[in-house]
Amino acid sequence: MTALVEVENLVKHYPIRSGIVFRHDVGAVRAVDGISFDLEQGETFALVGESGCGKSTTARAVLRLIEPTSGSIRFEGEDITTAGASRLRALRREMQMIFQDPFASLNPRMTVRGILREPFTIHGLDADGKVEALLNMVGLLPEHAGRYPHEFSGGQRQRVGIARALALNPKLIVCDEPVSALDVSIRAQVINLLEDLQAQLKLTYLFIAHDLSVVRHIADRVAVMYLGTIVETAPTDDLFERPSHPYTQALISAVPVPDPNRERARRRILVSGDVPSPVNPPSGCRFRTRCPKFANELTEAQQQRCIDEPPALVDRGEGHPSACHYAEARELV
Amino acid sequence: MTEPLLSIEDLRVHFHTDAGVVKAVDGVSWSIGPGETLGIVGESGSGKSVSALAVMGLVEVPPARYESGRILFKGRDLLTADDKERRAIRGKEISMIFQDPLTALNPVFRVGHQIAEVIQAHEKMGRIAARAKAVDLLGEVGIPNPRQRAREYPHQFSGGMRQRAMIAMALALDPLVLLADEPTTALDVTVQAQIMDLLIRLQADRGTAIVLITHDLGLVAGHADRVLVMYAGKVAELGTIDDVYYRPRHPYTLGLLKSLARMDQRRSDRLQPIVGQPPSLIRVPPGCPFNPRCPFATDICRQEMPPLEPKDGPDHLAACHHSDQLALQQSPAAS
Amino acid sequence: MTDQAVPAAPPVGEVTLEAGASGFGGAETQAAAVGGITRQTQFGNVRRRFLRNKLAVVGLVMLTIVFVTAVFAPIIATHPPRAQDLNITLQGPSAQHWFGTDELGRDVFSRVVHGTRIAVTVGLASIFLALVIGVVLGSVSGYLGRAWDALIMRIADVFFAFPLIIGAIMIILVVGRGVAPVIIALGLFSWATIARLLRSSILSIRESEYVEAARSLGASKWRIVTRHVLPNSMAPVLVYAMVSVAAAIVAQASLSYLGVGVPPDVPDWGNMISSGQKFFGFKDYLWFFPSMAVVFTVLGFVFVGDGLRDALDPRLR
Ligand SMILES: Nc1ncnc2c1ncn2[C@@H]1O[C@H](COP(=O)(O)OP(=O)(O)OP(=O)(O)O)[C@@H](O)[C@H]1O
Ligand SMILES: Nc1ncnc2c1ncn2[C@@H]1O[C@H](COP(=O)(O)OP(=O)(O)O)[C@@H](O)[C@H]1O
Ligand code: SF4
Ligand code: SF4
Ligand SMILES: [Mg+2]
Ligand SMILES: [Mg+2]
Repeated sequence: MTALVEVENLVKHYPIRSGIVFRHDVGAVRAVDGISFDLEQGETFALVGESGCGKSTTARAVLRLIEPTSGSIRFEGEDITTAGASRLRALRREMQMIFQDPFASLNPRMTVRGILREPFTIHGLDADGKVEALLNMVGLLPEHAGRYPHEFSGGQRQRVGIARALALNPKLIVCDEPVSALDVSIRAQVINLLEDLQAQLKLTYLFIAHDLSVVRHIADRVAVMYLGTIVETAPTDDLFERPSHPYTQALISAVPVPDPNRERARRRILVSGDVPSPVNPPSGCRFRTRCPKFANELTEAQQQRCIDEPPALVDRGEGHPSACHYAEARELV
Repeated sequence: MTEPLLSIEDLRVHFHTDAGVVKAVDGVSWSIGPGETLGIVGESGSGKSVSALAVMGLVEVPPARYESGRILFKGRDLLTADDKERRAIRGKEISMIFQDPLTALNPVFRVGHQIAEVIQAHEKMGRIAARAKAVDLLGEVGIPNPRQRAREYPHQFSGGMRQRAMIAMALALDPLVLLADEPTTALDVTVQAQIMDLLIRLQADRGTAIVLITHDLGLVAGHADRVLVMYAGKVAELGTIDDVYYRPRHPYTLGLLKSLARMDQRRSDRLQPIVGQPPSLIRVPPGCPFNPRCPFATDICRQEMPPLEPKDGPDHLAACHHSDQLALQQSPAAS
Repeated sequence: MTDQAVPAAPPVGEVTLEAGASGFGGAETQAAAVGGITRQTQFGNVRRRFLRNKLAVVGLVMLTIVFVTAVFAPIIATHPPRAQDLNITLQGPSAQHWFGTDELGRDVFSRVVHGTRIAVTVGLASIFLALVIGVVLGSVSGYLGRAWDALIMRIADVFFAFPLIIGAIMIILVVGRGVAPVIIALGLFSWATIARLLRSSILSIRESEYVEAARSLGASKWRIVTRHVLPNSMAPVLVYAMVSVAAAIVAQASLSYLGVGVPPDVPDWGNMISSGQKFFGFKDYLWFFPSMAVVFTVLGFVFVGDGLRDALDPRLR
């Protein structure tokens, strides 16, 4: 396996501006603050974390829908952060996106046919017969082509969005919470569709979600994000069975499972308070203000290290990288 | 089950719209006893919220119409009671929290002030005493610096804190029943765990009965005593969580449990979705509403609505002509 | 997608399953039945919602009357509008002269009918001009942003700060009286709000996921603006323009009334009200009928504009 995408030290800061006449920066939202990961050809790599931790920002930077502040993104070895407009246009055929909100991601004034022809028109390709093939591929009917988005249910709209992403035969698809907005009974249909398409078309997925259950099912590898950084990354089963970062542990323990006996037996690791603002993240380890380990298990000297020294994302003998000075695997599910 | 505190009997709430009659709640019955937690699950539009709003008298009439049914609180029917009696019960004995706390909190008043007002509306209490109680309540629901926070406005609170403030407001009058409509859907899982932990603690202290409305089957498994599964405005199944999760007697319940991705299990081959999609409540299929999606459906299912009947035991009800066939199925919840 | 094998997703419509299947793991997992969703076109929806609004329908009828009158003015009018007859000056309404005659013996009814032409022409043409300016500047401002946005919005502020009438008078003082100067003057002082409205609606639509989707497909800026942004942001602008026509008609009449609008011999409601007011208190029909014509036309545009706004708002489905 070779890496399709290599992200290195990606940083995206959104400046906070102030002043009406003389606008000046008064700070920055540190949405993504130095993250690195690789996407292997044909795999599903999941980014998980709570809202605002920088998942969508990362996704959009990888597709260069936003300009990263610094860092490099290589697609098939080529640094795309420096690609010019025409090169970028050509690259667009290789990477596509599926959006979270099936109601907001389709132009309400275009028919499904218009929506699905657009990728071909933009790239000067022949669209004959393509719309029907795409609809068939995502489990819709040819006669759906003449309809407007509002005439479809959420699940069907999401299929249209998937069809649009597939149109140009891309290698990489970034899925930003593709099933979060769907009903429970529809979710599984769309997940299966994504899996089938991946097998048939050899797609690579960057899969963004906050629902850990879906991630466990669909992902090959997972990275957990907190306040703009990756705190732990591992192959999926490894992460769920031996999480070693206190945040990952809290996250996993907080997800309820639909099994009453198991729920009664489970122990929750509660974290206190809310996520701090990404404008002023805490010094040292960003999770320390909420970390149950920091609060309950560490000596004062150990705590001082969490406050002073940002923990590196390295393997501390737990089998996979974890950004905690005192990483220690636990079994939680 | 002890004597019910609040019960709904054969409730039908229909909305008369231009497009047709939306049968949002169509013959729903459930009850809840003191200190109990009843989970209500079902997909979007299945009538969960409308049935709770009906209890609170928050369904707008028109477009809505109560076609039939009773809502009994301690034996008194809220639908026929006079205004004074209703006001005394709703808000004081029964209160409600919502998915989006911003809709329930008034943006232009300080949080403490709003809670104090709720208290004064129902209890003879001076302004200062009410304010002090509001601060105590904010402290009780885990808001740090309650004194100072009481003087802030809702937008100054984070999502989790707003939900806490709304819970404080709902509990201000020590209600016997708390209707919680997707109280954690808008929150991150770690904050959801905090809020559920808070609700359980308060329930243990005060013996409040909680109706927990959600679409998360996991949340119900961990927190409810009994669960009601709704489909297309009707009750599909009702029973203890062990009965419903381990011995489901309605194909919809079974289908939901089978379709879930599980965080606690290694990857299975494929998910097993329920085919098709939920019906529009304007055109519910004749017979059993689930029949177009049901793998067990036969002719009778397309003709006759199955009655909600006891299965296995008196407290496990399901509305299905063929629930005996499900007894042979292994429930996916048991692991 | 060129010559890829299309995966074997079963073609599905309404899904029916065989009874007694052993669970839910059917092959139909990709089935997306289209149950219960009726075929409705966007236009059909808007029309249905519009026609449901009684006031809007009344407005539509009023506007139809106005337009028919404007087009067929020479046929509807009973007398030539400029024909003077000094023998019958200042006569009250009669079978001969339905709205009476003015101090030069001209038939008031015929002048009101012909005045419709001026009002409608000036109203529509000036707002059309404002739309052209407003849409171009608003799109540039909203879509290109940065320095363009700042510059255009400051200019808009200047135009916005001037009362319509005062601004128009200034222009007319420079270029002189006449129908065309009035149209230009009113257009120049009406585009600012249109540009602002469009800009703010573009700003929100620019952030929408479907615009992002188009960007991720590699669509050019031009394509994004013309295919995605403008079609979705024009609705509030058109509604506003509809109501602005009413404002322009009032302004047009006011300019004439103040003696700086169209030349005095032109049959125009503002002119008629202005000369009629001399007889306020005893020959009230002179100013009453043209005033009613203004009110009638203005209400027509306002009712229709209001109805359109509600009909175009998808939240009020
Ligand atoms: N004011 C109203 N007018 C018309 N229909 C309504 C109104 N309020 C609710 N409905 C309809 O009643 C049905 C049930 O709605 P309800 O809000 O109870 O669903 P729910 O189960 O709570 O769904 P969700 O999970 O999305 O909250 C839906 O079809 C909804 O569209
Ligand atoms: N355009 C923007 N301007 C300013 N801040 C932004 C912008 N987009 C995102 N952010 C901020 O960046 C952080 C990460 O956002 P995002 O990547 O969307 O999070 P996630 O997808 O993980 O929920 C959040 O604090 C968010 O408020
Ligand atoms: S480094 Fe310290 S504060 Fe950070 S997660 Fe580890 S123990 Fe907690
Ligand atoms: S009654 Fe028939 S259609 Fe309905 S759930 Fe039971 S088996 Fe399925
Ligand atoms: Mg996001
Ligand atoms: Mg609801």
